[in-house]
Amino acid sequence: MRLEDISKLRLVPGDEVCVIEEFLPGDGAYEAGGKVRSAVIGYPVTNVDLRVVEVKRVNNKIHLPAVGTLVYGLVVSVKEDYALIKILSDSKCVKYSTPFTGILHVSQVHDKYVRSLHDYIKPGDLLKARVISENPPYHVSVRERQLGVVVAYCSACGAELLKQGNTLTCPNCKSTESRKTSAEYGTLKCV
Amino acid sequence: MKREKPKLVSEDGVRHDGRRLDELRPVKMEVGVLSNASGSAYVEFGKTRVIAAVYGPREPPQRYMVLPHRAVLRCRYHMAPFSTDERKNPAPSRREIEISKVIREALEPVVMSEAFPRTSIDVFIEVISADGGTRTAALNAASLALADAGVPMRDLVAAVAVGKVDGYLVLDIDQVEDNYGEADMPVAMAPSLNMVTLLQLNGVLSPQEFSQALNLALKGVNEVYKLQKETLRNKYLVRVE
Repeated sequence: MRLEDISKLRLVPGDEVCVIEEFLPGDGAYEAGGKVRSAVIGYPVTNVDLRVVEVKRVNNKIHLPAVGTLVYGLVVSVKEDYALIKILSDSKCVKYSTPFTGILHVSQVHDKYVRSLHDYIKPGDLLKARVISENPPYHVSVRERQLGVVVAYCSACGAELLKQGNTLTCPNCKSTESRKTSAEYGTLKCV
Repeated sequence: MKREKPKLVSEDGVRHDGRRLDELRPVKMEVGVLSNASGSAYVEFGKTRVIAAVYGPREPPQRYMVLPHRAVLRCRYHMAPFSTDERKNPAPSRREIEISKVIREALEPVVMSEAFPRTSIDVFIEVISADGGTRTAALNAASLALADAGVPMRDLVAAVAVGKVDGYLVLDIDQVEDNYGEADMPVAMAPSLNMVTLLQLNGVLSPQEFSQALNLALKGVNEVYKLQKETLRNKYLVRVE
């Protein structure tokens, strides 16, 4: 009975969901003065096993990178031991409202020992990376096989490099370059 | 040229624009009016018209702004040059800077900024037509825009001004009543939490008048709050039902 009443609620911020003795506040809800209230616009979803009530949003979701999400980012600058990334979109190519700063440390480039980042990444490259920290500036990792550079440009003439076997070659000036390439190099459709 | 003070409240308690003492101006509210903002709202109180836009949570433009434990809330209240009778210089005036600050401080207790450390949530409020009570209209719009953006909030903020005109306490005073009145008291509240987040008083009220004015404001705030909830419900929850 009571459960039905709760699930029928349609909530805006500040609306009462139930009392704290009935359910603990989950995502989108909070407790104040013994009452569970909604923090967003949406409808309640109850979990009777855990006694938790969530409020599912019906409007704009907040789109932010989180730990574990795959993102695309542009390499802005490269030092010996770290590189700065401009995180542009998630792996489904949904852009973030504004770019976020990402940091790639040498230890997160390869499973083997890396002496200098310059041999693996260059400014202007487009990376696919995994976010490994909670808040901006986000730390990212490209250690996995499918992660790494997905688009790179020739440092001599600027043409887009092509992947041949394990090396990248320039179709224009025939020079070869080394990168930590993703298994998906050259297949990118967006960004 | 100083004009003679007009009679603003008649003996039977009718105001210069035909309202009763405790009546709001015609209110119009709309959310999601801007396509590029994360959230937005348009609010109209009679001839006072305001647009609010919310961006974020996003990375703040300057690194020094970040707080390690919560998002920074940034507010800009601005009056368009064409919003007043005489053209207003578009540069932010001292008054606008102060109002930006009080609006920010009125919103901070309800926005759950601790969910987004090291980011900023930016609120831009543009007054497109000013006829008194712009800061309260701005606050109403800002809180709707934040809810529209999906920023978690403890409650909506509803605001209304109470004034003393010709010796009467009146609700939601407009520009003329403000110019010739004896007092102006904007009040903003989080009604569900029974929390006052902004209270200013310009002019003189006796202690008795003050508590009467506060009760009148409470009544007005609850009316505005109802309209705000209705606006959000109509936009987002009607289809679900």
